[in-house]
Amino acid sequence: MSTADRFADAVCIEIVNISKSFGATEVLKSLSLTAFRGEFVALLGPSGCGKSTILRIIAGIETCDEGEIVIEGQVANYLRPSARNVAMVFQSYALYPHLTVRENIAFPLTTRQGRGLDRATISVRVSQAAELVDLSDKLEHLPSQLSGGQRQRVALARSIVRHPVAFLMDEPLSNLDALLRHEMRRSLIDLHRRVGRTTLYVTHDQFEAMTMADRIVVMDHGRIQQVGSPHEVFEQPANRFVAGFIGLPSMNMLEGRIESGRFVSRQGLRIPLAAGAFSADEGEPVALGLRPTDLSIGPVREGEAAIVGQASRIEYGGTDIFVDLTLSGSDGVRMRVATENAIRTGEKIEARIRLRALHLFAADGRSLRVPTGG
Amino acid sequence: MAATPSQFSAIEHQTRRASAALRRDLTAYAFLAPILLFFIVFMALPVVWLFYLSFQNDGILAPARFAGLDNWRRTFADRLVLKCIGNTLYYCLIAIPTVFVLGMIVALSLETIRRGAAILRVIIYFPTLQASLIVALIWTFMIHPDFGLLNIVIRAATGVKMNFLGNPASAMPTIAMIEVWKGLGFWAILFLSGLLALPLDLYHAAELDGAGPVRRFFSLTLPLMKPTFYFAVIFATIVNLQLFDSVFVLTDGGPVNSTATIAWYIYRSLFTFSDPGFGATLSFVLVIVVVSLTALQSWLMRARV
Amino acid sequence: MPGRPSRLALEPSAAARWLAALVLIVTAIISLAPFFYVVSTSFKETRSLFTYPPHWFPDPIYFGNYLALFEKHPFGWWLANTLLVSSVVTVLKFFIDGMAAYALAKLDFRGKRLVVTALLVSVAIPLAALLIPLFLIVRSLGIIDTRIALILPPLANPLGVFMIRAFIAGVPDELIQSARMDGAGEFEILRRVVVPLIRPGLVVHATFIFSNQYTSFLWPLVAVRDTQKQVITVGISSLRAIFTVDWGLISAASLIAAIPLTVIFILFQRAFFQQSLAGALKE
Repeated sequence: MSTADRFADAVCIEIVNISKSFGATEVLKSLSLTAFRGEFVALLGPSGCGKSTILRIIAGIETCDEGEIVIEGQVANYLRPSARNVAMVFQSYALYPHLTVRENIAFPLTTRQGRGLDRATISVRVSQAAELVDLSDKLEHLPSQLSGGQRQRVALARSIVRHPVAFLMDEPLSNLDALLRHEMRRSLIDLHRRVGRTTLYVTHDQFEAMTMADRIVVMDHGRIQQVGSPHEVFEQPANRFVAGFIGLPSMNMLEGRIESGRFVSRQGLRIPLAAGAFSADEGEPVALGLRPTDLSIGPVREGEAAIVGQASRIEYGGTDIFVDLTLSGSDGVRMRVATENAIRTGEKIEARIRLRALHLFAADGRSLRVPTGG
Repeated sequence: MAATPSQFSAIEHQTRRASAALRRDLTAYAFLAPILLFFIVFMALPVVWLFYLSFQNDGILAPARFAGLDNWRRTFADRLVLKCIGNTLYYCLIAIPTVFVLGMIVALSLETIRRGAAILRVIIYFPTLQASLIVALIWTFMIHPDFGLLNIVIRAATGVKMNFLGNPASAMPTIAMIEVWKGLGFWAILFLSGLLALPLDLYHAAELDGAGPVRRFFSLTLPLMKPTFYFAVIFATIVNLQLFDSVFVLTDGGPVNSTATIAWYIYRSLFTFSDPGFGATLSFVLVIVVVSLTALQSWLMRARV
Repeated sequence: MPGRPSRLALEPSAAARWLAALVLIVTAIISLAPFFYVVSTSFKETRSLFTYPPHWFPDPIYFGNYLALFEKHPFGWWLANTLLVSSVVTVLKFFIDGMAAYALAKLDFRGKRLVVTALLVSVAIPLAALLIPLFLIVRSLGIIDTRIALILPPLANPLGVFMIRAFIAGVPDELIQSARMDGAGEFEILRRVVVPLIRPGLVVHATFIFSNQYTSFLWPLVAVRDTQKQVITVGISSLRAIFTVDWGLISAASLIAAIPLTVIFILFQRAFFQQSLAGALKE
């Protein structure tokens, strides 16, 4: 069942043909995107790909040159940010340093446009929000007295308190150290489940996107490269960029061409391809993709291809070893191997990979895989 | 993902975009309204009026009458105008470098000391705080040939009385030194803030490379302080070209017009000679001198960076 | 006691610190000495000044100068006028400059470049050059020789705008954006978010405006003739007679004139220096 089916036709946010340029640089090129109600959508891509810009355009902090932003069925292009009913969590948290946690969280409810609620209701909402993020005991503190993770949670509470239709998060975990990031990831997901609102989450960290999102939008240079579930994006990357961006360590790419239904690398390495798996013409220049995690040590079996090479570099990673395997000439691949295999540099390695795990990309980058059902 | 057709037509987008932009602009100008109001009435308008005035004669005691290029001709023919410009520039050339050097010395000293710095800062800033006029009066008193403190000291040492302000050669430098005394606090603090912004790491690195304090000063401190110095020169020039208070009080342009500054002459032409047309022409000249000097300095310094 | 590393000498030797201290003490003495002499003179009868050698300490102490100030001259008026005008200008400038600075620092609008350039260029325009037209404008507005004439023109000076603008620029954009998203209008943002965060800067601005106004001489000289409406600088200047100068009187006047400004400065000097020295000074 695809994501679209799960959320039925409850579209929350829709972006239609958005273009944006900063001066001479075109940052977004006619981009379109849909986010359904209750979905957690990750906008993933390298720095400068435009993902934060999209978020800011949806929020209303930035204007777009062309296109429409539709929030809950209403065109929002010319509405003020506060009238769009979305909340934003900034990378730097943007907490008001001179206000206490309580005052920070209450701020959206006390502004001229913030619904003019009475004191009692505000107080209740603030306590609810604080409880959701587990900060009820820190309400009278100042931001300067809190840790990074706690400040992050204040920012979250402040966005919750407005009961928005969607949350926009701009790399909220980037400023935290690795351990804290792990904790906060889980809290964020819990929060998302409890609150149940649409979340658009910008990140450059593919692991974050993979573990948190219902759907991932992979972007590069202002264009959407692929939209799909984490599974889809990992197993069936639509193009070379997505294939290389998702998965750590990144996918190995070997340049070559098709010869008699087989892949032949520039250095002459021959690798068979599963019949009917790819639609490529004879002689077509292609790139073969192999994930380091799909390669394993041992003699070739049925339905597998053999990769033989010499271990040129070994990196010890604790539970795994990462081996740089030099194949013929300048071709080389990286593979991940369990530590138990005692490998030494210079050793000849016999590796294998399932034919079904191979990826093939055309010269223009798109995937040549023949789509299968389901 | 198939693109959904837009909800708004192109024209609707245009109108809404335009009104959103208009709202944004109006908000901004609402904030700017007060300053712009006063600016236009009391700054922009006067400048324009200056130009218009320079073609007139009288206007204070007698009704104004059109004078054509009369005033302009007089300005360029009047030797006093040239003397004023010369005096003013002479003053700047003495005062500005002096106060900068002394200011730097004090700034460096302030940076080195930790204890008692707060009190010293206040004391050193004290003269800057006072009115130029009051400072001038106090110093007239201090350098008075008969009972001025300075002369008492000099008399005790050499038996001679010095008349600082009565001598055409020493009058302007004397005023310059008085202004230096007054301005020292301000510049010391300004340079101090510039100094404190310089990263110490560079100094540690330089020391490791074997650079001594003198070398560090010339190769590190001075170049790094360039932005501060550039701002300082421009600001000092603008302020010092307008020298008036001291001259008015101390020497009234004399002796023998050796301390006549442009600003002083402008004032005189309005109130003593009742000649606003001529004064306006002079004012225009002053504006041009200041603005072009400032622009020239900016350009020169930008080129160096 | 090891010295603080400075950009002069990383480990200032005792000698270096003594030298610096010497420079500062000499400077302090030179800065204050004239005032001490003035204090002493203000308590002397002017005739007695001409004795040589002079006495540092007045003997006998003479209060006549101070009395004369208030009895023979409208000194009280001068003081009151100056304080009034300076305070009013400072308060008004707070609003005028604050609002303008916010627009320049955090808002985007058509014509912004033009406005900034116009204001920037006008910083270089000397007041002396505008004396004549200002005089004529003020005269035709019918407010010549009034205190209003002293208050209005200084409000146009754009220097204060740039000062506050620099402080506002230090407030992170994301904070402002967040406030916008939270529904605050621009003025509300200025009031609730920006102003609390630039308080030390506003103190510097106020001190600057106040002291500028308090010590201004040229414009009051031109704009006001009535001695009762005059400010203190012009008043003191008028104490000089054509042939003789009553130094005792002038000393007394200068001293009293210096007091309000000094008091205010001492009150706010901590914030003033803290802001100008950008918090690097932690002593």
